[in-house]
Amino acid sequence: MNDVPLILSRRKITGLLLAQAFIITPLLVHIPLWICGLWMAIALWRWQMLGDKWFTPHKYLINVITISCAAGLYVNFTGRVGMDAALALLICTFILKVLEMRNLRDAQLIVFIGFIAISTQLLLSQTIGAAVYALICSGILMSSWRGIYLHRNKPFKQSLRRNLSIFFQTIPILLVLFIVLPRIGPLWTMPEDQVPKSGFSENLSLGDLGELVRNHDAAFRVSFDQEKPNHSDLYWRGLVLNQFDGKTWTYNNATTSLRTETEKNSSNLIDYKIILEAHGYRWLFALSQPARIKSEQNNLRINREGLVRSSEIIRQRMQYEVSSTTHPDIYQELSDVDKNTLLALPDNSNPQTRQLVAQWLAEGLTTDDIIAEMQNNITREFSYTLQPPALGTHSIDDFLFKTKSGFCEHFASSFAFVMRSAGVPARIVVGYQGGTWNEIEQYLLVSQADAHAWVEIWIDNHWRRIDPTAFVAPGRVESGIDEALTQNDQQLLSRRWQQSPWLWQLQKRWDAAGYVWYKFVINYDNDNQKRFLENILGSSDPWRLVFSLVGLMLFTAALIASVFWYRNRRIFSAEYEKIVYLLEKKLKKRGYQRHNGESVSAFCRRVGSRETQLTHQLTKISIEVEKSLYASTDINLVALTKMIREIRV
Amino acid sequence: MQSIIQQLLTQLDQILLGKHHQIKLALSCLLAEGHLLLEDLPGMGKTTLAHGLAKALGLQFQRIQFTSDLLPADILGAAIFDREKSQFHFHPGPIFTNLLLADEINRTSPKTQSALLEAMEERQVSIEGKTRPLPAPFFVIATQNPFSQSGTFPLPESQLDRFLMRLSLGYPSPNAERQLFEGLDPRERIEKLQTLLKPDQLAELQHMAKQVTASPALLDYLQRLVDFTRHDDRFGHGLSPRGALAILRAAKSWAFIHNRQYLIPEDLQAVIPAVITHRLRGTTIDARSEELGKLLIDQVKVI
Repeated sequence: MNDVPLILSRRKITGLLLAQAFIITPLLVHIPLWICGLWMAIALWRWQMLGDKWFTPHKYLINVITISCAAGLYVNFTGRVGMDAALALLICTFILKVLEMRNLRDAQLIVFIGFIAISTQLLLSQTIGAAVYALICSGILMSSWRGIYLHRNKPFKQSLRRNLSIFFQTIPILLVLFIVLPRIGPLWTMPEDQVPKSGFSENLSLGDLGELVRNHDAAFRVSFDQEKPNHSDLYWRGLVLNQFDGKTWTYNNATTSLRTETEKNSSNLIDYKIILEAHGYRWLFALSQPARIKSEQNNLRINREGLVRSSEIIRQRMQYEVSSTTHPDIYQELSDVDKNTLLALPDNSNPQTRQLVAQWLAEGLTTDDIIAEMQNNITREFSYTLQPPALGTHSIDDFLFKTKSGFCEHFASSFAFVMRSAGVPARIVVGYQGGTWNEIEQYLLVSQADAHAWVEIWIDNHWRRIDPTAFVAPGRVESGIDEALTQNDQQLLSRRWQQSPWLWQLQKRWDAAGYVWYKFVINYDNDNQKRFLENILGSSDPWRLVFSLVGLMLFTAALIASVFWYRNRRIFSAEYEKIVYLLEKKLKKRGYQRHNGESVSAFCRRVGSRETQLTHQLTKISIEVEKSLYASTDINLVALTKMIREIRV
Repeated sequence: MQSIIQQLLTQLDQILLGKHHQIKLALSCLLAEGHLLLEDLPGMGKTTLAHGLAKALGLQFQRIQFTSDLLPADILGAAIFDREKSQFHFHPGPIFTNLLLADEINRTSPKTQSALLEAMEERQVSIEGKTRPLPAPFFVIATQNPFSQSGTFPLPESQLDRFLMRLSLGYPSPNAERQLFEGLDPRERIEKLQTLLKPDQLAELQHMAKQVTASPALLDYLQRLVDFTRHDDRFGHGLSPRGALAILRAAKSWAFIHNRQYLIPEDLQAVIPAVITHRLRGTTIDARSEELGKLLIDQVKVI
């Protein structure tokens, strides 16, 4: 072999191991556990090899380990090809390469695999935190990359400065590439079973939401094009449940209903954009009644219940735009099948409630009277709590006549039951109510804690929204759950950070940063790119782009050149330096340059010996310069300048 | 006076053929009142040069071959009891001369070395409580063989510093060597050498060499040179102020030999390799080679 393999020093290997640790750590949760163990073992082994404490593995041993890893991966993924399998394979390669890292070329390979591994971090998470972490990893990897070419240890401060300077030089390039490169949609998808489901599920049992509201994760964020509607109007509908078995509300798909007539009163439209967190279901959220819906990423439609549905499971954060009519009632014709479904109640359940309703009907109460009666009762006797007492088989009876305290699903469920008993078609709507306004970036954060359930009843060929929770706890609807709960329940929510205004502000700011990050960076797709380029360039014609890029490059080059020029410009501290500079400039035109260690006379002699026609002049000049410089005679600037000017080049 | 210098150089050129530059350096060294260290293989003309210089300058000449059992008293001299007069009588050693050739100085023990080096610095010796000055011009030309180091005591850096210059003569050019073969034996040449200086003239020449002036521009250059050795990574350590002064002294003599009353950068450049290489250590370059001096000259801006 011609090139002698350069043995890597302790410092270089330590740097690479450190960079690897930083890169692998966030990936560990996505790969099989045994790979984590493998990584630790191999990192330790390599570390011990540095001090010659452990032996260097023989080629055959490395091969055996490699084959076992391949087998392990096969068993783990049973031959399935997918992103997770590919990731595990990449990490295995990254780890195993460390073991046979000997010379510069191996180290370079590790660095390159490292960069790919960093990009996989962003595949798995695209939050601002992940991006910052990936940047830090790149910085560390770049430093160790640079480190493998350095032969001397430099003081930490000096190398940090140098590394940071290299790092920051990449930022403008990164920005330009980000702005102009064509945007390709996501080429990967997470396997379906890996999408974590969040929020409520398809069914609603009593007590479900009470659990959910203790979670403070974001569900979605909304920005309004116009003024934000009142807090009490913000009913984000997600799911309609029309079938009750005595315990659980579910959705019965068998209903056939006629087309929904949405009142398309354009003057009453309210437009908003929603950035929805991945929740693993197909439903989306909108205010009643969505009229128009638009999204770049997914195929969306509005179904007959006035709900927004996606054709795909929501695996990634997505953005969509909705226009809703503010008219609260929804006109729809109900078929008999529909009516039957919406009136159905399980047999022999909750006799007390049925009896009460029957009594009311016998007394000749109308639907509105029954609603008023319910409202009265609930307002007077019921209480709103996160910790409802346990209910028996006849849960509605127990709730209405015994415990009289519960959470929103208790009120909604029993109200719907009463309505159905009274012959009024009723259904449960699950979604979110309200949200937290972030005034820093002007958006509404709706979190799991805002989860809510309410009732829609069918009166006069319209669906009317009735929120029985508002009867017992008007504060819940007007300002949010925190206002509506007792001290005891608030502790259950354990929003401790809310007690410190400073932390509360910080939390808001962090959320706002994430919102901006998504809105401007993650969401920067082809359309946004086109719009952005049109804004700054006038149009997105390719030639305009090319011209402006070239212009930008020239400008940057000019800027850098001028900085260098400014730094290296000559500062004359004495008269003679001007003369020397003048002479050098003159002779440079002839292609002669004075070396550092060359005195003026030596320079003149050298040039004079080659350019015979100048010999005489140069000799004279050199004598004069030498005298004035070293023999302490006064410098005759004018005469010297004249002599130099007379040189013909 | 200048004619005497030219005659001196002409004469010396005839005894050591083709070594004009080294002869000029050696002469500058003596005119700058500095001691000279010759580092070369045996038979390269070190002794001839020393002899020639002594003869031409009209100086008393002594030679000591340094061996491992040489004692300080063998150099400095000792008080010996005179039986007839019943008192001690001082017998001066070979050091009491104008020009001392200390051959293979690294062969002797550090104790003896330091006795010599002390005398070189002080230009006087103290024996049995009595200080005796050495003769008025006093030079040491020491030689050492750089290649056979076994059984030697290499001079420590602090003592190398006492020599103004370190020179090595090197092989003669083919032409010069041919002339050597064809002409007289070097010993005979030295005998034919004329003494050109009168007793006090050397002091006068030395005085005149000191009068050479250095302009601010030149001192700037010297400072840049010194500064470079102190900050560049390729130098193990920088030049001391004494080293910087040594450059200046040597360069002044060099300028004087060239009949100039002021210093120019070329003077510094001419003496730098001889003056600095034994005072510095290179990190990547061997200081013994002249590369270090060349690097310094090439890298530092003259203006």
